[in-house]
Amino acid sequence: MDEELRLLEAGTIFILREAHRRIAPLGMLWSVGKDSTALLWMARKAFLGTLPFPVALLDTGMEFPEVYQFRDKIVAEWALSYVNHECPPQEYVDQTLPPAARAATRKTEGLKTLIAELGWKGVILGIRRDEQATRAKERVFSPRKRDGSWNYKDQPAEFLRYFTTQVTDGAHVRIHPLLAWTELDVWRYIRAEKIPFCSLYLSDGKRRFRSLGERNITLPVESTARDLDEVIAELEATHASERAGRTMDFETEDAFERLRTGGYM
Amino acid sequence: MNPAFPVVLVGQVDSGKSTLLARILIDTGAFPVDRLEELKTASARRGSDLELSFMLDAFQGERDQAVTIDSTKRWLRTAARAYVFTDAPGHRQFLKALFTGAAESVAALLVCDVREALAEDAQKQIAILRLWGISDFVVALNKMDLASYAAGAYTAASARVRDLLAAHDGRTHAVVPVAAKSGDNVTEPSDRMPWYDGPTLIGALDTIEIALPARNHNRLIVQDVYRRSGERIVTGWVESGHFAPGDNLIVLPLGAVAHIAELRGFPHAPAVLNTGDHAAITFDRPIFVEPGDVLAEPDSAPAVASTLGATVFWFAEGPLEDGAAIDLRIGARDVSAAVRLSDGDQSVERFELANIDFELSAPAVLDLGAKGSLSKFALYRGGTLSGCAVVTTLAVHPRKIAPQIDAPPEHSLVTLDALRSEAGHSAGVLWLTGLPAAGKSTIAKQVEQRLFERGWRTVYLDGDSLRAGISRDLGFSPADRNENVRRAAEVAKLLMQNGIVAIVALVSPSASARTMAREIIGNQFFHEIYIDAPLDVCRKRDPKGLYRRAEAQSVLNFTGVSASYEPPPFPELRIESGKNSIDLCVAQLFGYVIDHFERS
Repeated sequence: MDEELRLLEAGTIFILREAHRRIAPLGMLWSVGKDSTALLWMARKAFLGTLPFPVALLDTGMEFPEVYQFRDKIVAEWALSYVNHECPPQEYVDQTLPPAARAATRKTEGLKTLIAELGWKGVILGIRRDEQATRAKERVFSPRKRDGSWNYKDQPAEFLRYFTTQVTDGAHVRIHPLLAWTELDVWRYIRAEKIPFCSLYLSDGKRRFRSLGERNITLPVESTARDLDEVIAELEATHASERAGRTMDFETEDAFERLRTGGYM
Repeated sequence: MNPAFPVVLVGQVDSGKSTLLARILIDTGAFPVDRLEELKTASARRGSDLELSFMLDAFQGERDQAVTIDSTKRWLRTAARAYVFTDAPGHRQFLKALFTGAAESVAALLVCDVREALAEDAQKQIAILRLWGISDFVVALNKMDLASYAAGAYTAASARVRDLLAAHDGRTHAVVPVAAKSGDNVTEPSDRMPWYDGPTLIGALDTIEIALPARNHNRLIVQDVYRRSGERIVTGWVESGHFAPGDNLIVLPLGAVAHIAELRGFPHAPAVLNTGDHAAITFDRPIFVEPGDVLAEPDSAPAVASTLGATVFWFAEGPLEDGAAIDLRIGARDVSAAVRLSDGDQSVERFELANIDFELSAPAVLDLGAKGSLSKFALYRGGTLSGCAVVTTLAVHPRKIAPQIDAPPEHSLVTLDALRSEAGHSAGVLWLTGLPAAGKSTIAKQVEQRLFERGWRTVYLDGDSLRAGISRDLGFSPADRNENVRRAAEVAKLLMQNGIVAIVALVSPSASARTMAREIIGNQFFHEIYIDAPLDVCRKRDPKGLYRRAEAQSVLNFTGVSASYEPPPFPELRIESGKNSIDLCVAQLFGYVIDHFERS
């Protein structure tokens, strides 16, 4: 592994161990996408093969079939303590919202019920700063209020290996061990470590998915990249954004900000 | 690939930092084309063609007020190398966010409006960067388009800012006249400023080289200890240096010594650990290690101190008062401390820099002059990170190395084995001997409490309780004292045989009587702990007034006054309670007990 990936991995493993040392009960969200699967791999490294916390999917029932197949394979092969958490049904959320925001709201509500049911004080998530401009302003240990909302105007300070790890009563902390990684870093790490990933990230000859979300609101990009080397070469050359196929980011100017300050991942 | 080179943009509010970074992103091809359309729409809504700063200022609250509230990070690549840029807010009220953004950077891009002098806010930012050890600066004199691209404006401003950075002991690599909106002298030399023959902004940044620290002592910081199938695996990170199986290491602050048995890892164990690596190791003998400990080579070990001086940047709401109790995190260790302000100051206000002395409640490991988290630490108030600090002075503890003894439990005692496996510790007797008022009972009680909290079976026996009951018939003649020791030893033995750790605190001044106790209890179960404080210290402490009474009333046979104390020549452990704080003594004995009684 090269120097950059070695240090990124070590930083992520430190954060995972710190979350485990300081916060209980703790859990991790796994979207089955490339980022959280790579994070899961690093968690297995951090805890020497056995995760000391459960892993949950916020399931809208709208993921691609390939995603569910890949999930089942990994749960079995890695012997995960896995929670399939069903999000509230479509009818439950505001029907006047545009379709993508509706799906995101289902996930936000699903996360709230998951945290309430399992009593989690800390939730580990695989978001990255380079994905989206509001995520770029995130903290590694990011406190949420009791209703799950995020106060971006007064975030705690962080430096070196020092974070605010105390959890206020009734609230929770989001832990983001992948903030310092870029999309390319993640793919290069997956290649170096030979981590399995969902087949939808590779081209069928014409198109592939660069970012995976629900099947009704996620669009593939044009691509001929049929293996990891080709995916990495394509990303090194592209000038398009990773989440260009994620319609939830674009429905209004502040769509994603409103989703995130309200509790979305 | 090498890690991205981290640079922070700082400067006065409205000097154009976010606009400049947006320009750099566009001109280096790092900004996704599809997001540009989005920005044009957002700009048009606020009456502008294209507001570049919206690339960074993502929040509605930031865009509406045209101000950066929180730091943001962006990655890009030039011909020379990869960068991660942090755009930090310029407003004074967001200095906490500025510091968070700047803390990971190694160089700074100082952005100034060419038409304005640097006000107090920018000077404060520079002082914070310098405290943190950032000394390399490239200056962008921005808004040259609003100064008619005139050489005169540049020359005057350049001299001002160079003087200011020199006054803060900063290194100015270049002062570049730029127009962020149009990109003049950002990545390409500008036709509009032919009088300028220096580098472009990116050209200047590309040439900065940061020297690696000269010293690279071996330091591994313990983050946690995991139990895996009866084994204790020590995890943490390599702060500096290298580690491999067979390395002889000292565990600080307590000072136990052991060799690395194995490196662990999943799915494969590494052959060697290098600076920055995550680590998981096992030792060749069962020593006590806890989170926050530091592993080093015995002859190049860091300092152990419980008094230290530091320069602090305080960013919590509400001042830090002289005399306040505060929580510190140093490396991976949490320790509380009392605040002592210098120069008769009563408090440190928010966003002030101050020199503060800290008296720690327990010793911590520190590395004066090193770059990382053993010289830079964090202040917490109410669980919230409230300030950062850089160590400047240390009052160092003399380092003690715990003796290594081989006293395996006797495996023929089957019942003891069963008791041990149920309780998670072996049984034995800790025999604390020393002068009256040396600290025997204080140390014994605190260690007992810590063992109790760990779920251990313990009993505490001291001279007063023995003499109140089982030895009520005895006086203080040498013969009666020996009998008292015999009875204490027999009681301790009975307890020990029932799986208990008996902690006996008894003056027991006679070396031969203690040898008798050792024979009664059995050498492998008897741990002689010498609580060593000089007579004059004990006399001065004298919490029960015993010395005063003995001297005033000429009490016969009072050890230290009218009877002699025979120090043990070879105790299992010697604790210097005259020199060291009670906390350190307790920690030393506790560590010893864990090492010798808690075997997996």
